[in-house]
Amino acid sequence: MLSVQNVHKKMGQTNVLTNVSFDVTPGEIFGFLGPNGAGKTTTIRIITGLMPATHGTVTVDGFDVSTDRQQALSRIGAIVENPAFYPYLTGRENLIHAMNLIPGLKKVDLNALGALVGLETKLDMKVKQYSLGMKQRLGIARALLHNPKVLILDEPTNGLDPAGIADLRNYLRHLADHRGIAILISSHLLSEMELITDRFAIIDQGQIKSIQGDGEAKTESVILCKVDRKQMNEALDVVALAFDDVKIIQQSAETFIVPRPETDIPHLLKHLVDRNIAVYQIGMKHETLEEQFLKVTKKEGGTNNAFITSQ
Amino acid sequence: MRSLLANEFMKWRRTIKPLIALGMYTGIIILTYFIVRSGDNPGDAETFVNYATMAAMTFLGIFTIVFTAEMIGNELKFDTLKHLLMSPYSRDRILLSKLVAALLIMLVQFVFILAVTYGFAWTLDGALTFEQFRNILLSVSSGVFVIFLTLMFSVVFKSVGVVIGFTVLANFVSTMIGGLLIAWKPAIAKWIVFLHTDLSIYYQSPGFMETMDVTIWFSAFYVLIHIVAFYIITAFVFRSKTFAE
Repeated sequence: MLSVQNVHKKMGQTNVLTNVSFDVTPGEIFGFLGPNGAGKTTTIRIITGLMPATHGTVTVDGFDVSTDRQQALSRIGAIVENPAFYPYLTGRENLIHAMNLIPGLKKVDLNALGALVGLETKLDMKVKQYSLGMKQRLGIARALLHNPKVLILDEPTNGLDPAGIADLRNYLRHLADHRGIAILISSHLLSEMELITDRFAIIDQGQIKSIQGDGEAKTESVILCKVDRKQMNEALDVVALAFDDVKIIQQSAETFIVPRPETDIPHLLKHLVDRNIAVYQIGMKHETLEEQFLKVTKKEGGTNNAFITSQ
Repeated sequence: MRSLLANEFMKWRRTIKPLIALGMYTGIIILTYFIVRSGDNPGDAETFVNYATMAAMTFLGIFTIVFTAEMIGNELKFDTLKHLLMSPYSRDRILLSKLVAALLIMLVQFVFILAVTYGFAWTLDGALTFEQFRNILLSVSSGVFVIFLTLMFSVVFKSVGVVIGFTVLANFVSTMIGGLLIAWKPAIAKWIVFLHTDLSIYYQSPGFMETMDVTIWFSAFYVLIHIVAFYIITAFVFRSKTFAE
C-alpha cells in the first residue's frame, strides 16, 4: 500500500537520507524508530509530499507522490510532528477546513467522527481551549476524515494519558484489522511501539539499519537462569556441555542467559539439577524493542545517546 | 478552488480583526460626516464623499496589508501550513486561492466603505457625480498592488510583523523618495512604481503625473508588470520552499 524505495535526500552537502526502503502492507501497523535527527520526520515529510526526495520513489496505492500527487495524497491521512490547528476556530471548524482540502470529499458525519475519538462534546469548543491530548485526538480525527488507505502518525501518543494511549492502541489495531488501513507510526515510546506494531524499521543517521519482524518473531527470546553465585562457574560448564555452539552470556554474579528456545528449559534444568546446582529461577527473557534498538544503533556506531537522554 | 476560498474566508471571518476593521471604517466615516456638517459653512455630499473615502481608504490600505500578511504568516505561526501543503491540491492552487481571497476580502471591505459612505451622503445636500465614483474605483488599484507585494514578502519572511513592516517601509520610503525626485529628477522618479499605484491621481491631481510626463496607460501597464513579476517570484518561492522548521 505504501512503498518507499531507495529514497535519498541531500540537503546542501549532507546526505540526510540514504537508500531508505520499506513497504507497509494493508492492515499492517509499521513502526518507525530512530534517535533524534535520524531522518524519521524527513522520511515522513517526503511521503506526505511536503519535501521532494533527491532520488527514489514513494508510492501510495500505486500512485507516485511526486508525479501523481493528487491521487497519492488523497489516500494519505497524517499527523506530521504535532497536530497543528487554527486556535481561534472550533474543533468542528478545523475539521470542516480539513474536509475542504480534500477534492471531491462527500459529507462527513463530524459528530460520529468526534465520538470515535472521544471529542463528541468538545467539537464546538475553540481549539485554543483544547489540551494537548484533545489536540492529538482531533488530529487523528482529521487524519481519518477521508477514510485514507495509509495513515501516518508522527509521535501520536504525545500528550495522551495512559488510558488515552491504550484507547489509541486499540483503535489503531481496529483500523488496521477491520478497515485494512496501512499504518506507519513513528515514535520514541519504544514500549508503546512494541505493543502496537507488527513490524518496525530502525533508522539511524539517515539509513535503515534493520527491519524487524519480517516473517519472524518480533523480538528475540533467551533463557534466563539464576543460580547460587558460588556455583556459577560450574553452572556455566554444565550449560556448555548441555548445548553445543551456544554463546552463554553471564549477566551478573548469579545470572546468565542462554540464547535457546523455551522448549530447551527442561533439558537445561535437568542438567543443572543433576549436578546439584541450586537453581533459584529459570525462565524466558524477551529481548525488548529498546534492547534491539540500542543493539542495532550501537552496533552501527549510531548516536543513540540523545535518545537515551530523552527517555 | 471554491472550497479553498471558503477556508480562507472562514479563517478571516472568525477572528476579531474584520470586526475591528469594519468598526473603524464606520467610525471614521461618521466622524467625517459630523466634521463636514459642522460649522457655519457645512460641506455638501461631494465634499463628504471625498474626505470620507480618502480617510477610510487609508485604513483599508493598512488592513489589506495586515490581512494579506496573515494569510501565510498565520499558517507559519500556527504551524498549519504543512497541513495545507500535504493536501492533494497543488501549491500553485493553494497560493492562488490565498491571492484571490485577499483580493475578495479587500473588495468586500471596499464595498462596505462605499455603502456606508454613500448611505450617509444621501442625507446631505448636493449631487454626487460619476467622475467622483470613478476616482474612488481607480484608487483600489493601490490596494491590489499592495496585496501582491505583501504576499511576496510573506513567502520570504516568517513573521507577520516583519512582512507588515517591510511592506509599509517599502511603500513609505519609495513614495517619499519619489516625491522628492519628482521636482528634481522627474525622469528618474517616473520609474518608481509606488508613484503609479493609485490611478485616481490622474484625475485628482493631474499636474503631479504630468511633471513626470507619463499617462494613465503607462502607469497601469507599469503596475501590471510589477504585480506579474511579484506573483512569479511569490509562486517560485512558495513552490520551492520546504517551510520546514
